[in-house]
Amino acid sequence: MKHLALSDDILLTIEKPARYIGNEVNMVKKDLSQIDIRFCMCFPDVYEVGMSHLGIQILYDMFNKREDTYCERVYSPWPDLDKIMREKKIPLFALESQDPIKSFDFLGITLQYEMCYTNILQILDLSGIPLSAKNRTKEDPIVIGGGPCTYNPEPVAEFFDLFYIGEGETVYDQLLDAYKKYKHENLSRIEFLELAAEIEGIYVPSFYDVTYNEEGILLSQEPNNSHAQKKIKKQVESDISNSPYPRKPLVPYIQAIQDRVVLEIQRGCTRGCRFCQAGMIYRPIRERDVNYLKSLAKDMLESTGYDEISLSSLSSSDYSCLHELVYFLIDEFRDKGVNISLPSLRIDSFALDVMSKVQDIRKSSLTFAPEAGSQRLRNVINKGLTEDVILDGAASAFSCGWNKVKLYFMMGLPTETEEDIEGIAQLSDQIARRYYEIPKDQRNGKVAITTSTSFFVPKPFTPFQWSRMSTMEEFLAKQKFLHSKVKEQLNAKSIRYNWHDPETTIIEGILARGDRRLSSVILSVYKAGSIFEAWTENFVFDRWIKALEENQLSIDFYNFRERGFGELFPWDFIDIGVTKKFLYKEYEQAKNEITTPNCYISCSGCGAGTYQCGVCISSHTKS
Amino acid sequence: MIFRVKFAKFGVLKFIGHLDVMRYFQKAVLRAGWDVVYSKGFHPHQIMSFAQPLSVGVTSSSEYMEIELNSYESLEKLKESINAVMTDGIWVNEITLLDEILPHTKRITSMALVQAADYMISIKDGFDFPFTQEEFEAHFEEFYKQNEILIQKKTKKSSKEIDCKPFILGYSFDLYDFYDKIAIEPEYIKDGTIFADYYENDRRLYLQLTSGSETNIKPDSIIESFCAFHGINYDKFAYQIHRMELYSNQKGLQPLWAIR
Ligand code: SF4
Ligand code: SF4
Repeated sequence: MKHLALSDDILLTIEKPARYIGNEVNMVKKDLSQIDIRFCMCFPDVYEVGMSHLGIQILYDMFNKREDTYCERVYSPWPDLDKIMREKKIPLFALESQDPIKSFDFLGITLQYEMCYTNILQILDLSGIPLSAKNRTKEDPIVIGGGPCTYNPEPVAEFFDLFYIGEGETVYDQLLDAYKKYKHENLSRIEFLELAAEIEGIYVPSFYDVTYNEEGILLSQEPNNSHAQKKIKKQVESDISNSPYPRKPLVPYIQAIQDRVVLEIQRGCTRGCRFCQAGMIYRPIRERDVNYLKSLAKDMLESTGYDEISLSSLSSSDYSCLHELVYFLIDEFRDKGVNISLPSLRIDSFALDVMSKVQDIRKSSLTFAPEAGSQRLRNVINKGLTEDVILDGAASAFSCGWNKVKLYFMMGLPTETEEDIEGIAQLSDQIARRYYEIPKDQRNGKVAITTSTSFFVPKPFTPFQWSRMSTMEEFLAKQKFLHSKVKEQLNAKSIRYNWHDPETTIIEGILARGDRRLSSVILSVYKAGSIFEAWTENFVFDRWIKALEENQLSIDFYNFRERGFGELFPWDFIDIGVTKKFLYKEYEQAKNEITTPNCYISCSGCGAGTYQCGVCISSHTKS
Repeated sequence: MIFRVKFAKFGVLKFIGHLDVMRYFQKAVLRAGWDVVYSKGFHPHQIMSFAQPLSVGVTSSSEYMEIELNSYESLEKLKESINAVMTDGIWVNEITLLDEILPHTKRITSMALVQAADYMISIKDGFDFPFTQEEFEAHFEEFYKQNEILIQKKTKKSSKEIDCKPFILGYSFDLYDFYDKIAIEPEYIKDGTIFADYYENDRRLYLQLTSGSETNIKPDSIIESFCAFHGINYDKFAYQIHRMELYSNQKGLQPLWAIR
């Protein structure tokens, strides 16, 4: 029987031991004597969150297709186990082999949100790997970061040997081959990093020196090693129509957040909402072939036994074969007990038809994300969703029997005024009014509107990257104001208002647009005992404030300052295709309340065209 | 048609709780391509039920599940197809097709059939258990000779002391002796093992206890009482419980798989 890293008494004491035993359905097993490279893939959050992540499943499958590589997994031990591991000095281990991470060649950590940064340190610490990359030796794994947060990796630069900027499908093979050369020729760790630095898309943070001016603004970021490239080019898999996808994804024993087959139908988004980082960094949009998706759906359902399938993408309504795909899934699998979980769709007759087929109308809700409360502000953020579209969509859904609506907004957007905020309350009320226009005998009870607001965080590589962020006081005032306005509405009783906590947002803001000096702040917060900060109950705001002060850094500098046109940003060394010039032009357009059409209507020359793929080269975009 | 599936849950699977095992089987039967019957309604579900769930940490070669299928080729094929899609630590060892029941009569489910269970209790390695196997046997005999064997019976609300002597249906220290005198040997034993973990110290006790929804005696409570009787410290992690069989006792002792 398989040997486990944790003893029975530990496993029977902690919550959900299934998080740590591996052995899941479709777990890859390999003979270690036939393996050159041991890669451990890490999602720095709890198992149920990490197991739900599509990107890791894709990479796990891709790495394990290589005969010389064995890719395993690790997730963050929950605080109950964390404590025991520290007390008993048990090294962190990978799920598959249950071997210590320290003995691996690579530790790959995906960075999906800023609030997991202290968990990176937990992983390194429990593994016995020096936290700072510069203190690592040949005995330590190469620690590599990937995922959306690496579009500004600087705040965590000190903890990583390498970053992989962009989509994993392109240059991992080159990197692994370079690693084999390093092992066979017995090169030094630096020599390996130099080989890696020459690969497109690989960023070696220690090969760059940074300087700041007296205000603390970045002055220069220059390579200090001749192998390092001045600009790091984001990696894009140009043709994903039939690119590798796991036909046998892992199936956890315990319920994960995503407990279903997930089909990625397209990558990227054409809409260019000005607050949205995903909409810029994943450009250009590329679609998967619908027949390929059909065969994947069938194989994945068969190999997992899942009874639910969902589609994954940004702005799913834009996928050109959506109708064909969704009707195929319904016809093929619905009477076999498979639920089709729909992405949020633009409400039109197609959406209403499929929703009524796959959802229980009485229980499900309509979702709209207008993001801003007034048309003026929606023009500023380039959200092409008008009040009429929302109201008409809601009205037609109401007449089909729906009575629950979820609305998502952001507060603190650039140029926002009180009227814009009030607009959130009014729009919520308008929707309720539409509902009550339906004759009483045809209504399905009362309408229930849930209006949620989050606070806007300016993100790198968006038109708003120059923008000032609201302060805590401003956020709270806005929230209070909206709350009072919601209460004033005619249908106030039908509207539930949900809000987020602004403290986390403030820290996210700092980390999102931060620089290298923040590494020591993150370290102090971790040393003070913070982990799992994406879980509100574990987030301790004061530790961040204290750590910033200790390091002579201020929230004001990172968040509450409008950045100048010419300012050098810590992430400017990354080339995502989309140019800084285009982003600035978009920022100006925003201030002038002028919208920009999406890529399917016309090309705005954002710069992503250099990748020569997807929408940029398809016939219907010729401008 | 309804099938009773007997399966073993062992190795690392002992850390998977009952609800997750149910979810596991819902997927496993689909991977195996079984022609499952679904309930009607908006969220159709499989018609599936389980008997006598185990607590986390216990292994077993006698888990029972009932499932309704539309069709099947042969019991052998069913077994083969599901074992081909199992993870390590879970294994189907018997499948019984239940007899059709007369209209307007109600079938007694596996759950309701259970009246007794066999357990093997091993002392895990690395714990200080003060007795050799001979001493263990002698001390257990002595413990069993009491007029009353008091155990703590915990319910959701309270805990009360009961005499469990009448519910200890048999015990032994040797597997063959146990099968000769007390228990019924399963027909199917995979690779000659009974799916239980093996410990080097080789100290074991076999018990047959009253089980089921009316009275359910947990082997742990007997051990706890044994330790108290001899004044030794009871460490709940020192014992590995393995369930070997579930029985109905209506017409004499009959393992669940033999009842159609
Ligand atoms: S539609 Fe807008 S918010 Fe949504 S992904 Fe695209 S750009 Fe981002
Ligand atoms: S180059 Fe044009 S078509 Fe391509 S992503 Fe940019 S705006 Fe869209």
